[in-house]
Amino acid sequence: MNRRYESYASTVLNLIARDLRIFKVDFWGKFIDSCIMLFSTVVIFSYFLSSYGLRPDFGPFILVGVIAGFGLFDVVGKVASMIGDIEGDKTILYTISLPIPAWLVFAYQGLSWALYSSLLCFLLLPLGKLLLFSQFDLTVINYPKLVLMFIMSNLFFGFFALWLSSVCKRMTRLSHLFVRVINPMYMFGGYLYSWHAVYKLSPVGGYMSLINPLIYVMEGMRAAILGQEGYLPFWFSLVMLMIFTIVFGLDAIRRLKKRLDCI
Amino acid sequence: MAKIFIKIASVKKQYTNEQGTRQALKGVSLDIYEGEILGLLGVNGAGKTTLSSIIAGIHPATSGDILYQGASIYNDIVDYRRLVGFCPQKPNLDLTLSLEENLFFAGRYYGIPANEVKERMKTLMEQFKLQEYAQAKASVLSGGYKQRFLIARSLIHQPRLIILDEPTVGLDPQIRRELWQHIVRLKASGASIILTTHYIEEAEELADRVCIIDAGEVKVIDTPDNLKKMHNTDRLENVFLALTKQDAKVGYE
Repeated sequence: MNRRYESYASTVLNLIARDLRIFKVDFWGKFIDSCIMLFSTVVIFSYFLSSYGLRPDFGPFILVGVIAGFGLFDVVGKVASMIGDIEGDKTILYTISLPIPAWLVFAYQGLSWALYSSLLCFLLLPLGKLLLFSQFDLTVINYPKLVLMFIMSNLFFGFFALWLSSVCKRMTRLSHLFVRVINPMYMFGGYLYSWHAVYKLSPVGGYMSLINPLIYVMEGMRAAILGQEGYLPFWFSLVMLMIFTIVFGLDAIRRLKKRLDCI
Repeated sequence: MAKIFIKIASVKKQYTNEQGTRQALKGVSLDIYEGEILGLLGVNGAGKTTLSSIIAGIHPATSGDILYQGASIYNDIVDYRRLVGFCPQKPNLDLTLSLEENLFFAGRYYGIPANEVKERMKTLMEQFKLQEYAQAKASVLSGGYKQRFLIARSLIHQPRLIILDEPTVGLDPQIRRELWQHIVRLKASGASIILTTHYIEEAEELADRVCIIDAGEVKVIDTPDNLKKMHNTDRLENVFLALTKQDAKVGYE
């Protein structure tokens, strides 16, 4: 039985190695996109909007928001590539014909996407420091917690992208994805505010926003980078994110197995 | 009599969508012998691709079974997939990777050590005359070369059952002839081959036995010579036309 799992692991690692090879090809293009996104957001919120009375510590707050939410914007491209493939060349059927179970093919896809956004996202933190200088204090970062949240949030985005690919039936419906799912999720996901700010305003609103998994990404990442005070407990965010990842992942695998009619 | 390699027992396949339920395969039973080329012949939509993808272990049968060495392949589908090399009709290569990279990863997915993969790559590239494109991206290949490369990729793990789904469709006659030679060489290596085609002369030229499928049913399986004798004709095309309905069917493939 162990040899079987070793063989599965070897196939999955080689699939990931293949994806990294492909990733390398368009890495710089993607990296430049991410830098532009980070630069424009951080500069506007930290420097330009301070003249409208925005608190000076809003810079690091929004920087962490951009880094934490980066994976969510990247989701659209991943969903488009998956649906395009299902409707077109169906290269995924080649992966399904390999000696691994079908569920592992989809799980690997989620993992590979998680790794992809992690690599890009990881480089944004030092760039943020360069933009904010002394406003962003690296000594308050809890690095073990940051690594944990970083891995968990990117896993969530990977499996969330897989789930969206499984529910989005056609390429033509992809345009709705950004407007109906990604944008509301982002705006109500604590990107521009903390959970406590909503809770103070309306406890009902606060509790309702807990159904949005992005709130845990934002709160967890801010608790790790900016300190626990003023955010949801780090471990609570981590566990909730883990639950969301498992639920979305399992449902995505079930739906994709059915949709692609595989064994 | 050759040994039975794969036994297909009453395989049915049903598709359900918004338009309703349709039967793509209506209880197909046939045996595939060791070392033979079995030609699956049928018009578009007859169920050839559906059957070959079920035999390849990609899609499940709605009912019925496929037996390998007397046991259902579904008892251990992952292990069964190691035996099979599937070459689909539509090229599904990694277009951003070079041919060498495509082949290298294809071998590594099956757990073949890197050094051995490289040796096999060299042999396959030579065999399929692809050396000059080794470093080229798969996206630059013409249709014929893509098809040739797809067959090469499906052989990297040295499968015992090779399924070629319409490998020569849309190719010019010269390239078709070249691919035929490759298929004959594959047979000589001892592998069993399922060759899905709607070119009658291709089946006649290459197949040891021909299975004519129509509307999801097996009409007949026999050697091309026996089929011609049975129908008192010297052309397999006449047998095919006599056994298949002429009206076009709604495609399942």
